[in-house]
Amino acid sequence: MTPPVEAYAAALAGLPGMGPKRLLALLQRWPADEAWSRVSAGGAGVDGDLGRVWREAAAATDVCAVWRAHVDAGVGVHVLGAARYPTLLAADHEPPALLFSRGDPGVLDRRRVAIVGTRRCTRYGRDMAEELGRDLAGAGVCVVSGLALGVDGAAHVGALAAAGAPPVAVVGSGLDVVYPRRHARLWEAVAGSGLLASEAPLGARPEPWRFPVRNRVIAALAEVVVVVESHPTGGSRYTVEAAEARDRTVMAVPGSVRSPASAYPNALLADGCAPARDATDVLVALGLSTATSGAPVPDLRPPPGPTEARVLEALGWEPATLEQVVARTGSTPGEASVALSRLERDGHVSATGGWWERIAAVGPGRGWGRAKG
Amino acid sequence: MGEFPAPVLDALRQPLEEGVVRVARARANVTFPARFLLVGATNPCPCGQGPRDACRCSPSARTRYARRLSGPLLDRFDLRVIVARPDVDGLLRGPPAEPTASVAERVAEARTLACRRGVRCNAELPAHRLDEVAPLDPAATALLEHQLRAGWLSARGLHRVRRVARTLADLAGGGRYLGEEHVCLALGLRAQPLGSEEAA
Repeated sequence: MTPPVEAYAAALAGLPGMGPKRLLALLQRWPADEAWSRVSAGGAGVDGDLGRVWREAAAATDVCAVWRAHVDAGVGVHVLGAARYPTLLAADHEPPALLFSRGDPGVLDRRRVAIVGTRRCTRYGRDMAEELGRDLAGAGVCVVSGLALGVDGAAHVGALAAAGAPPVAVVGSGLDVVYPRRHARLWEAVAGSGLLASEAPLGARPEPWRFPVRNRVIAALAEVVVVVESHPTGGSRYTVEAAEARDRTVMAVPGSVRSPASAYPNALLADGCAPARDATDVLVALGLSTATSGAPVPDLRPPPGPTEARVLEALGWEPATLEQVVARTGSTPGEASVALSRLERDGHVSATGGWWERIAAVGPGRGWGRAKG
Repeated sequence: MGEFPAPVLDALRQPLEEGVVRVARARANVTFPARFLLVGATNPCPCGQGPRDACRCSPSARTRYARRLSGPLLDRFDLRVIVARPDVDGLLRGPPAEPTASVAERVAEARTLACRRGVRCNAELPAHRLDEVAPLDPAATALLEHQLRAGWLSARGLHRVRRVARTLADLAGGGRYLGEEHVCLALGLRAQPLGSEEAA
């Protein structure tokens, strides 16, 4: 069997020391099969050790076996310039030379919004990401994110719960290397209903350098990038820079000025970014009629009683300890703890590590593996 | 406690539960008395900053750290208290706290009540006597039932919560029945460590 040109491209991507830039340079000069034979012969225009390492690695690689591995794993290989390569990326100024995919690349034909943010998000950030993901997907907008812990994962969970537009995840590792492990189920769910894409070849470890590079693909795929929560030095700034370089709209979810996790989105707002208070704000930015977003989520929780309402108000939207609630309400620890326990039972607050946090109304369909906390 | 290896910590489980240490060798089995009060402290996470935003630890590092204290071991602690950073205002301007002398009086009274039940302290109450000496009122029963059904409380945890609630009621000079308030406070003294929600 003669392997297709995609097989050679995938084999090239798997060579040691091969990053997106080198791969792009090779594939812009030669078709993949020719580039492969040049690398195997040591004549790929790369000098010194790297040329030798590539030649030796290429000699040890069976291109047919590489191709079979992709077919067996259900992984599609899209070469820049080929017919099935996403047109969105083909027009980009830093396109991935090669994109690996699982699922349906056709979902990219929909309107697309990226929801990004920190792995170390607060309850607020997770709730907002899930809410935006759910409401945007429900309005037929494809949610693009990175499947990371925290904000990314919550956005995907929300999008899947809506059973609207399927989500897109662009990951940093190879499509057979599930990272983070905790998102294994989510990973499969995204691949099953939407699109899972990566620039990294099969078997590629989630090396730190891959994530900022991956973020530019997220920015390139989205029409609007929404930053939910991020610390000033977080990876979201790479996505925002990439989005700005591509004239994509950047929106930020406003947060408490005291919360470090909201420092970056708040700084973006101060710089003049549009706020994303809810999905409607984002739909307006997309120029979509807000009528498609449907009715607001009904709050199905039993309303709090008078004492509970007072405690809920004292709690506010930032985590507090029982002692703080007692000090703010002037009630006894017993009264406050009874009120908090009733609020917890009815889904108004949650307790983690001795901290109480208020929960926003999230409608039905939160069945995506979210237990207490 | 987070600095000890997990197997060392888990070796404490049996003496904590039974109040004896059993040593089994080829020639003899020896049982030593070991009814002791275990007070342990641990950082909330590797960086020690604790909850929320000040913490610089990655979620996985927090999870790994929390996992060192196994669920069964944590379950055997009657009181698990989160020590939050004190408010600056509270430190400098807060009202003076209750003097320890008056707390000691209440503790002595509560101890006397425990002695009348035939034990040195309520923690020693056997499970089968709880219905008799620590009966629950309907609201407290409903609350505990909810906690058990939601999987937030184990059977062992239930007994421990009832003993702690008994003590809280004794300290408050309360009556025979345990109310919702006592049970809520007892549950509040069984905080889950940070990071455990991510491991779950």
